[in-house]
Parts: sequence; structure tokens; C-alpha cells
Amino acid sequence: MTWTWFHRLASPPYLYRTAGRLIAWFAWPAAILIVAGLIGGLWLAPPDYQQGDAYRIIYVHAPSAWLSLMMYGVMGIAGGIGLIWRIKAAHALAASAAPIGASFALVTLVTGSLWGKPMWGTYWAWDPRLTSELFLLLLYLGYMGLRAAFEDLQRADRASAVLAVVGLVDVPIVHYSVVWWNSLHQGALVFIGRKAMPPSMLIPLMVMFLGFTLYSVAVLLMRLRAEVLNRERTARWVREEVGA
Amino acid sequence: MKFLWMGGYYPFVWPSYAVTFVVIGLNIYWAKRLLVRARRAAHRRMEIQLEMQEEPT
Repeated sequence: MTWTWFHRLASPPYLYRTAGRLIAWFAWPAAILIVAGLIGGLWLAPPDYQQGDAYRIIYVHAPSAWLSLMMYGVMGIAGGIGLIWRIKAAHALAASAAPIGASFALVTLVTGSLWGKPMWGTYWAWDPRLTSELFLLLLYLGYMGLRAAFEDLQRADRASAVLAVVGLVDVPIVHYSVVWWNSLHQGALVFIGRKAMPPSMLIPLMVMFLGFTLYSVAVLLMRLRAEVLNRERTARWVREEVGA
Repeated sequence: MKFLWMGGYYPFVWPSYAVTFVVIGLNIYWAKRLLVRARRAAHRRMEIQLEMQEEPT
């Protein structure tokens, strides 16, 4: 297997142009899938026998939670690659992922609270799942704050990458918190077996998961292009690109 | 109306969807604005460089 394509991604002009070409390939399918998921989740799926229509919050809550974890994974792994191999493009990717992940961690907490009030009788409980997700949001905010605190970009990259890598430990904690500790939060979604969600509920959820994932990649690529351009503003290829 | 009522859970269901789609829209807006600003800043920088090159010494 040849890794040439991967090594080429470390080149800022190649990364900038490739990202630009890929955005539409992720954005349009994402829009179609999210609309289809909304129709399935809000209209076609039947009400839950215990939670009634309140369970429909899951169609935005669970994909948002997935994005908050996925973006942290991208940020932590890219930060680690940037630290070990000193690849500037990896740091740019990590920096681009942080605001997206933070915004969806916030959405997860807000929609979770709105689901918790009618189901648990409270907007907030210091439950392992909720607390670890809040900690994830604080990690994102800490990462962005740390980056902003340095004037020197290289020092900002290195310091924030260390935080991103260390914070990776929270990702499995968020995911397995409902297994490891007693939790008010329901367990992980069951796709197969006796406790599986019926297809009429599960298919729209899967469609939303896929739609949200493609959307996040499209937005990540848009942010990455801006980040690369800011970092490379003195380079010759940027002059050709902006047409000066 | 039955659809909007959401079995009585409308004060929780609709705000959840509203918050999510506002954030989805904001993420697109912020990313686009960031890219436009980065392109503008790069363009301005190049123009300044060209002006400095053209100035007689």
C-alpha cells in the first residue's frame, strides 16, 4: 500500500485545494440525509410507548453527542500527529475541529437537559454521563483558550496539542460512563438483539448520524482551508490562490 | 396541530431542534466568514508587498 496520498496532505497548497474540491461532496449528501432523517424522525417514526413524542429529541441529541466525541477524537489524534511528526497541517486540522466539537458538546448538553426535564423531572443532574460531557465541553474551551493565549503559533500548537492528547482520556469515559457507573442516563443504543430499536425508529436515527457526520466533515474542511490560508499567508502559492 | 403538539412535549422537542439547527447554521456561517476573512487578509498582504516592491528606492 502506498502512503503517497497521505504524505501529500501535509503540503498546505495540496491540502487547501483538495479540501476545497471535497466540500461539496460532503455538504450536499449531508443536507439530503439530514432532511430525510428529519422527515423519518419527526413524521414517520411512531411515538415511543414509554416516552411518547419526547423521545424524538434523540434524533438531534444522539448525533450531536457523536459529533462532540468524533471531533475530539480528530482534534486529539491530529494534535498527537502534529506533536510527534511536527506536521503543521495536523495542527491546523486540530485547531479547526475544536470550535465544531465545542458547539456540538453544548448542543448535546442543552438537548439532553430538554429531554431530562420531562423524563427525569430535572434539567440537570450530576450524573456520570452528563458530567463527563460537561468536562468534554470544558476541555474544548480550555483548548481554544490556550491557543488564544499564545502569540507564537508554534508554541500555541504544541501546548494545545498536549492538552488535546491528554484530554482524549475523556472520550471513552463519556462513552462508557453508562456502563461503568450507575447512571440516570439510558444505556448505549442497542442496534441488534432483543432490545433493538424497531427499524421505523432506528433507520431515521442512522440517517441522521450519517448526515451529521458528513456535515461536520464539510464544515471541518471549510475551517481547515481558512486555517491553512492564515498560516501560509506569506507563501507564493497563496498569492496565486488569492489572485493578487 | 397534533404534529406541533408533540403529545404535549412541544416545549422540549421544538427548542431542541431549534438549538441544533441554529448551531448547524452558525457553524456554516462562521466557517464561511473565516475563509472570506483569511482570503481578504492574504490579498491585502500581497498588495502591500507589491506596493513596497514598486516604490523607488
